[in-house]
Amino acid sequence: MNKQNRQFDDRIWQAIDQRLSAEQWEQFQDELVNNLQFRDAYLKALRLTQALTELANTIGTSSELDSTKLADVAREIHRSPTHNTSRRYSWVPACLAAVAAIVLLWLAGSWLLPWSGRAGTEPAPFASTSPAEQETMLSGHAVLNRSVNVPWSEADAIYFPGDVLPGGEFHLPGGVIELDMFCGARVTVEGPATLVFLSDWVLEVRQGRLKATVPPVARGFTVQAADRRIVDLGTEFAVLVEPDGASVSVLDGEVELHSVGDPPRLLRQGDRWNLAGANTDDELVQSIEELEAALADGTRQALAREAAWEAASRTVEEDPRLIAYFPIARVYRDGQHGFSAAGPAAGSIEALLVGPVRSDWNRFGTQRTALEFQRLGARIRTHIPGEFSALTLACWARIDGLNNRYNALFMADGYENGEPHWQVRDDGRLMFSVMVDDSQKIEFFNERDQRVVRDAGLHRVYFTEPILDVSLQGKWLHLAASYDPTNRIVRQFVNGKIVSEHTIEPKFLVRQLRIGNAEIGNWGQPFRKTSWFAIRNLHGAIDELAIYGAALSPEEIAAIFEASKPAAY
Amino acid sequence: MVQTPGEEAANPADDPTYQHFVRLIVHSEPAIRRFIRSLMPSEVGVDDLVQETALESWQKFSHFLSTRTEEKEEEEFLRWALTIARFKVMSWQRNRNRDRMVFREEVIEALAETAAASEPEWKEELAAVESCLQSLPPAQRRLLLAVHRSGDSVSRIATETGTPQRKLYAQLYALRRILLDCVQSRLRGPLAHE
Repeated sequence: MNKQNRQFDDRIWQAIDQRLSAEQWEQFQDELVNNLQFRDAYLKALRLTQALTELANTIGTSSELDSTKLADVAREIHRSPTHNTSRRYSWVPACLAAVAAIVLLWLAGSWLLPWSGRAGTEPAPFASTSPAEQETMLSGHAVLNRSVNVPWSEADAIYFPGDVLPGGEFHLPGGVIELDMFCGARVTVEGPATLVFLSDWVLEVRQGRLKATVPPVARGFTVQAADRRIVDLGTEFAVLVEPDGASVSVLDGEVELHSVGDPPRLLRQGDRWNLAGANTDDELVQSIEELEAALADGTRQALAREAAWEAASRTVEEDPRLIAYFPIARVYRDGQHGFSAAGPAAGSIEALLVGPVRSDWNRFGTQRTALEFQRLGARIRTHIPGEFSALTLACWARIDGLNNRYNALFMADGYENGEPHWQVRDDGRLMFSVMVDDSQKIEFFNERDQRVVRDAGLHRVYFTEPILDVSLQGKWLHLAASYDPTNRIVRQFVNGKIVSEHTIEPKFLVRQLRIGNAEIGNWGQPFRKTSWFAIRNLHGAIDELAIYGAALSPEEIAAIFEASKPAAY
Repeated sequence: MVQTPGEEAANPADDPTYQHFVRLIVHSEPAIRRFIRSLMPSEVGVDDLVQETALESWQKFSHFLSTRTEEKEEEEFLRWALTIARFKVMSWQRNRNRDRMVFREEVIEALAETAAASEPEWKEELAAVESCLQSLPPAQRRLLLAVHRSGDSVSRIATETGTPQRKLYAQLYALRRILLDCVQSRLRGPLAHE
């Protein structure tokens, strides 16, 4: 639900609960008179509350609600995440996660992680840290599998393969997508198209052409078009809806055509049926072949994109400022125990996979060379010798969840003088820091925790605003941070754009930077005095880490992003 | 519930016309109530208006009996009673437009049309709400029910639980949205997967 819709519908709830001011009440009435859709929405909402009242009053005498002493309600409210003191952010696993994202966004009203507990952010009633008590809810009926040549506009939502598409109306501006309905039907759609996801089983087509492939488990999948219902009986069929006509064509198996007032009509393989207006049949079948071709074209595009990146990457590695460069797709093959750096350090810098590092599809979707650190012992260790007068770190990262308070991207082991730490905090802020003086013990008031905290060593953490919200979860992002002592500036970047810029105060200025032993995707703490260690493994994957002994300019970072991004960006 | 103005019968319960009326009004009362609530800004006054509508329906019942067709008597009675209800609502709000927030006449007209049309779906809607409610986690379900129970209010629950009202409302709205979405998709559900 977009922001406007939310405001739209918040006003409805406020009206029902008598929370509008006199002026808002007048506006609300105007809307009711002039906007049929709004009036309809208001009455639906009102009837929901009427139904709830009716149910509450009848169930009220039964045991279920009797146990709802107000004290219980209070406990439940206090157990909800807004009151949770541990504030751990738990993105639910695998496929549910993406779906949760939609709902959380929808619920949250804020683009920040919704239950971060700061004043001004709205609570999310669902997300829970204790799954046994509460369950995360979601809204959506289909997952996007592939997309080819879709001209997503920045103003609308952009969807990536693997994203759950929200319920309700969905507009595809162009190109071709393949989506899986939750019921199992696979639908290929050509844009421009307007679809309405009505349920896991029902898809309405208002405009556009689509092909549905329905395996036996999804039998009963229904497409609504031109006031008819096309109920699938295990088959493959195509539907075209244009302003001047609509038709259905059965490619394989059978479908049943339902229309109001008529008995269902059975259509068999090869049958075509005009649903409305002009005859569009021939065009329809032909267009289906085009759809298939477009999808195949998508795979070719991904491969071409990767090949282009590979060529660009060979230019990148000639940059003399590179200290270490790990174009994993080029230097690593699934199953290997480690890989060597490319570029100037080739032959001298190695990276070693330690523990359960797993590989997953890279950002192009072509090979399994993205390395994941989901399990807490997983890490890639490396050693980078030398001293540098500036630093730039850049990588592609896919962050599936901010499960830990701090989530490691690239961390120097000891965090000694001049060593960098690059991580993501659980509220979605990127953090880049360099140790200034590790011999000092610093006490400071932590606003977030509202208490005085002791910190080992004088250092300064440069935070971005919270940028990793749930909408970016599971998506490949190009992240970069540069530390420039000459100009006393720290910059951080996401997808080639500056997201934060900080001046380095004299007290925190470090001119000699080092790395030494370091880890990708986790934090090794070799000097700790107990067996206990901080859990900072990244729930996600990293690809193509590049470390420069210089501060790259914003233009250079943007160029690196452009040259290495996958097709959909 | 109905104050009969019956003059002829000493005990109105013995009057067959009255018994006829009672049967019809008992059957229609919940729908009349929902309809009236749809045209009112809040619960305030709804009970009184239901009473007034019932009373006037009884007073004019002989007129109804003379114009009805036998077949769908219940439906006809409801339609007729809703017309009475609509006028009652209008005059109620007209009389109070100075001291509180009420709906303007044109709003009531617009709402009445849509509200009357959706009445036949009520049973399905209620069933959908109930089953959607079951799909919520128990804590959320209990919160929703507690807030909507007659006699309870968000502000009271907020006070007694020490939760800021704003927060409770935000939770409530999010839960209602989820429920509404679920209900809508259930009502439009597929033919083959009831």
